[in-house]
Amino acid sequence: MKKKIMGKGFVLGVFMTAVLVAASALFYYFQHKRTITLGFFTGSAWDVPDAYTYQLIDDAVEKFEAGHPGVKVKFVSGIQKDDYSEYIASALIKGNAPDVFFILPEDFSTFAGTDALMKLDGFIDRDADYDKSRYYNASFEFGNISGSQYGIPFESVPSMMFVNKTLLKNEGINEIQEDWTWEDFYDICSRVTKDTDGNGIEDRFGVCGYTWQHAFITNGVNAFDANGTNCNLLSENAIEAVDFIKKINRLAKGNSVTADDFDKGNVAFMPALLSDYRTYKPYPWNIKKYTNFELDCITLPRGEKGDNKSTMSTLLLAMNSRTDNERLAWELIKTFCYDIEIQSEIYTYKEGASVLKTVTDSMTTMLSINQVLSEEGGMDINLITSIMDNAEPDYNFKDITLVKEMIDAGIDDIVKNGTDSKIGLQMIEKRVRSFLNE
Amino acid sequence: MDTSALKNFVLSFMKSFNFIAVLYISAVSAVTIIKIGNSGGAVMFLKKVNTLPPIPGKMFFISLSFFVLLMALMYMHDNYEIKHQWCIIVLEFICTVFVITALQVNYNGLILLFVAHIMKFFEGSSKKLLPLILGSTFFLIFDFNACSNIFKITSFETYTEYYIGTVAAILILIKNLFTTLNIILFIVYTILHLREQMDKKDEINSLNERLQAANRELENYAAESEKLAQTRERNRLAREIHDTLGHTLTGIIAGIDAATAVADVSPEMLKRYLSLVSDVARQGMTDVRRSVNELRPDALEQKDLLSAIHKMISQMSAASKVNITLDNSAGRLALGEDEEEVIYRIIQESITNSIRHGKADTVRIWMTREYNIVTITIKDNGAGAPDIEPGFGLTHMKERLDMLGGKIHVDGSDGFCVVAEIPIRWGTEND
Repeated sequence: MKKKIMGKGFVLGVFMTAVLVAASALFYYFQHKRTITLGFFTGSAWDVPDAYTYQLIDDAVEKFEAGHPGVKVKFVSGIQKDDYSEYIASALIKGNAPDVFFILPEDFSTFAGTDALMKLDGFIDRDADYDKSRYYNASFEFGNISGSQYGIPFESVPSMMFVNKTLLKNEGINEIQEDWTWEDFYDICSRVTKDTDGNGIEDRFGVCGYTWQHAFITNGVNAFDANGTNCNLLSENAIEAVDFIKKINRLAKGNSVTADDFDKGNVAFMPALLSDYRTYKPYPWNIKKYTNFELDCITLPRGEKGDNKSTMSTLLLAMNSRTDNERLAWELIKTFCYDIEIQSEIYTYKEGASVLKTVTDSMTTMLSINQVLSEEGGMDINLITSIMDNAEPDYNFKDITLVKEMIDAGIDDIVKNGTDSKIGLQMIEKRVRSFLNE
Repeated sequence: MDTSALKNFVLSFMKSFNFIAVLYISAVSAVTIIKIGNSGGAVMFLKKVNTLPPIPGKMFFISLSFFVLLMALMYMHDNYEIKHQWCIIVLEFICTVFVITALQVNYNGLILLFVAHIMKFFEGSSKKLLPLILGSTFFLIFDFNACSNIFKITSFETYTEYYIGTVAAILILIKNLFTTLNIILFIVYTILHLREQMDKKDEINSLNERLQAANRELENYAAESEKLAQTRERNRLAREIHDTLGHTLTGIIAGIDAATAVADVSPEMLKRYLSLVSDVARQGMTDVRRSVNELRPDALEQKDLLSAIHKMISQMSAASKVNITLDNSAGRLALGEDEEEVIYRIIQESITNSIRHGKADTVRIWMTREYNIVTITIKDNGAGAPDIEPGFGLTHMKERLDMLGGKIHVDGSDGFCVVAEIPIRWGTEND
């Protein structure tokens, strides 16, 4: 055999190379430790005009950097909301995503389902200063998938009912109780539906945009389990809800009622989001949109088996699962989501609600909200807190968007063709189940 | 080109082939991931998969660097003396697993390369099937479909969905081609390896046959040369007898004849003739003694009995690695040549038997004397012999002892034990 013994020089060479590589890796590591990257978008997550995104981001970053001397927060600015999902997804697969980034509600299940997001349960448990009970339950729960917390809530928006106060007043309806029912709702709708100009076609309506989602949540329907593996649409509650949708739709007598009609002042009710209310109620938007009537809001009416509940949509902050700055990333998330000062700024610069109960409840908030809202009658802060307390998190399993579209289409068919609710729901359930089991 | 060279060529080719395969899979995956990221399809892609794809540059770098490391280890393994072979095999295996993991188990052909590489280090050993068994096990374990049920991994096919129909099909075809060709290469290598093994076996068999033939020839030759030696010895004896006894007897006869002729004439002459006859007879006696001396064992001829026995013992224990001890409490004995020879032969024969038949590793010899009886005990720790069939050696010993009026007793129940008793003739001077 021509085998030789390995030379000392060879071993020494390998050793030297290893030391060099290790040294440069350490140097890079410590440099890298001093910066943390943040991903956010300009504009509102709820598709309403927003002008002050940077104000809040700048304040939070400044506060964080002041609390962590020598650490720099880096971010790319100017990404529009419409481009944001793709921007983060692209960065995630290319491996250069920010350490901490905002997640739009519709992207959450997709990102969490690909292990792109760090599980935060460990941080929550270890951090003695951190108390998750200070959040609205529905806000916090939205960040939880199958028992693991993948996101921390930053800003929440519950659904509620817009009311054309002027129209109702003209009909002699002055006060609607917070715990009003489907019956009350139906009564008012049937009273206001009219042909005002006498041309034989109804031109004033009760409601627009009232969907199965509003009916389900207010009649205690649990359509899916938390993991999105099963679908149950055949409960009595669900059938009642669909029956009610059919009933209330019949009032319009086949006319299609749109948000445009509501804006013109021809519709009494329209389910909407808190962000819409906070944007369009005050100046200057109030004179651009709802010019000829006074806008008010109220809880969603409850069904026989349900409550005046809302679903709540939440903007989350998450940590990149590939970050190597875990500790700083967690601190940054806390600055945005757990700092009372920064959270209070949501009421100054953003359109949703703070996810911290203390902030929303506190007097200062009340003042600032009232300052913002009082220009046109003001808004009852107690209404917001009670809606948020009672709200349920939106479903956050993967494919929920597609499933919702499937149910939308199915219910539309039922309403249009007057199919029996149970039979119609059976068909929808079958379709959804086979899709979920794929 | 012979089998061995062909085999080495196939292995080298497999290495280059796998390098291209790893390069192809990692490059296509990495480029596709970047393209997906840049083309606005990232969200759609993430909806399809259940885990993030590996970071493109990192995957490319890790898979290729561990491949290079694996090649370096294999080179070292082939060309340098390595004390702990297992260590390097484990390191090679770890590198293989790293490359496969970096490629998200989309190409597991490296396992076959690894098995082909280590196969030659196991040949001829009792574990020669180990690489094949381990290899096929790992080949099954590191299968994309098997792994994707347990680990979150993304298939090469999912990446290629990014491309339009034909391109995707071609990319997958090339990948499958790599996988299949690699398996074929591995099979060819294994066949060549087995053939080489068989060739070697044939060679060993033919060598063995030649050795046996040579052995037989040698045996014949030994038998012939023994016969030749016997004949030569007979001739020598005849010559000796003719030269010494014949000569002396002729002289004596002639002298006696002459003495008879002059007996009546001159007593003086008679005396002179008889004295001459006596001289001739004495000379004859000397010659006979010299002849007998020439026939004695070499050692005995030159030394006394004890030194000769010691010399024999040390020679035999050196030659056979058997521990032989002599315990002499009989002191120095003044023995006749015939007695010395019998003792010498009995000890020699017994040790030979112990080594040859008993496979003993210790032989002890005691020599004791009581009055005029010398007792020699030779005992070994070998296999012994429950039923003793007296062979030529034992019979010969008995005959020799009979001539001296001695007795022999053998026992093969616990090792083998020979006890010989020899009455010695008092006062017999070794003249």
